Amino acid sequence: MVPDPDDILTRALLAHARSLEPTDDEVASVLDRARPASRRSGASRPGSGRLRTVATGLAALLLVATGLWSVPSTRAALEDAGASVGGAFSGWLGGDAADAPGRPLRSDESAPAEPTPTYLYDRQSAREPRVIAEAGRYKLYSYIGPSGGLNFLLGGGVGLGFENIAELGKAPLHVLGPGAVQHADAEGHVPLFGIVAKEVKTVELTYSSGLPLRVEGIESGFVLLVEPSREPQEVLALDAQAEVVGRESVDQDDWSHYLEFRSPDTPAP
Amino acid sequence: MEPNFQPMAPRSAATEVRRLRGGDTDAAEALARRATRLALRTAAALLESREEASDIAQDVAVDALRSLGKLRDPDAFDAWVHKITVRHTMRRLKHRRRARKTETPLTLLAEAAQPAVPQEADPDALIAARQALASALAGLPARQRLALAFRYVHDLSDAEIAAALGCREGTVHALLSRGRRTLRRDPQLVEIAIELKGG
Repeated sequence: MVPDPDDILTRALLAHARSLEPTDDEVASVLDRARPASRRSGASRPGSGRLRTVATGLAALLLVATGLWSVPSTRAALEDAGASVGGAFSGWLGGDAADAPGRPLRSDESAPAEPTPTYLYDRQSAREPRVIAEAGRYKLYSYIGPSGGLNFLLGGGVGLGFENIAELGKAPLHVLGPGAVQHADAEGHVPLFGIVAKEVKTVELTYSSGLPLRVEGIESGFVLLVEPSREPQEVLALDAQAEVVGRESVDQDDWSHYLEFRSPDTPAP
Repeated sequence: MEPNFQPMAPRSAATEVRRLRGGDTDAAEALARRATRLALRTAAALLESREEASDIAQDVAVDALRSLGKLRDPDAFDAWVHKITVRHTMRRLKHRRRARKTETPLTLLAEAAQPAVPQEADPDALIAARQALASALAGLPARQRLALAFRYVHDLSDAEIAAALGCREGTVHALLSRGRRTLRRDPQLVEIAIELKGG
């Protein structure tokens, strides 16, 4: 194979960076800064002889951090109602239209995979219908029911109702489920619907192997186009700083059954 | 009988993470060094001065160590450091002012046992070369620069770069192509590259 001249040029130009090594002082400084403030030495650039001391302090910190991680990761979020899924919908349910999630349902709304149910256009049964999220050929709808409860519609088939915000729980992530889909669609996808707290900006779906599915710019809800053949494992919710603030396992679901049938709209091989 | 000494293989990052979680304090230093090294090399490929690259590298390493408890897969340590590096570097590139003249050009620093350039190279010419490179890189969008650094400094695959940058593999391919093409159009850089290769 003939080497690409651009490849050779760029490699040569950046060669100086390939062999750089941090100095002992730089490493010591990192270790010192990574320790809790109360245990720092006070020197901004400690000498290399202090590496062992600061490493010991850091190890103690990390052991504590690891211990915290072993408890449910959403505990902090559960204790913070402001960062909960309910917070994303409470303003809207309270009558604040400006705080409504998603966008209003259009009169000519169409959903190729599953037709939009006509009752969403009946103001007696569905007040203020909205599209919370969409991906590919699927949409997540929400509306206020006759009794004032919060309702979700996963695609066109499955509906979920919550009498009040408290029923949503205080977690920042709530996976609603895959809807009425019985098998993967023509593209091999199954939609997975969910809702999130306002602070969540990115959702990531991990698989048993390979790269995760990552969707950025999330607002209040999501529709993930899942590849069931890759064994989905977990949905992660990340905030604007890319910190994981919530997670929900989806590996207990039997994704394999979606692969047993061919979608009716799958082209013949 | 002669004792059979086997060279000790360097431990993987995953091993170090597990050792640290098991209470082995030596692992903290090893991970600090590894994270600093990874970030330093990335940052040095993008910036004019070693001081600035070192600042970013240390910030990245501190972030990585402080939040190590959140790393679920110890095998993903390097990829995780690269992601943090992207965040810090993008922020720096967005807000940075021109490099201070008092900073040390990369060429004046001892870099490694394996020199990246021929020993007989003229130091003044090397400084000029690095400045020309820095100037050319500065003209590239930040994500192109990062993609080039991940590929040509760390030898990451398209998939690994995509994971670090949070984009699709196809986007990585486009970023690399555009970046290489822009550098190739700079006649001064082409000349420098030929000299660095000893040709």
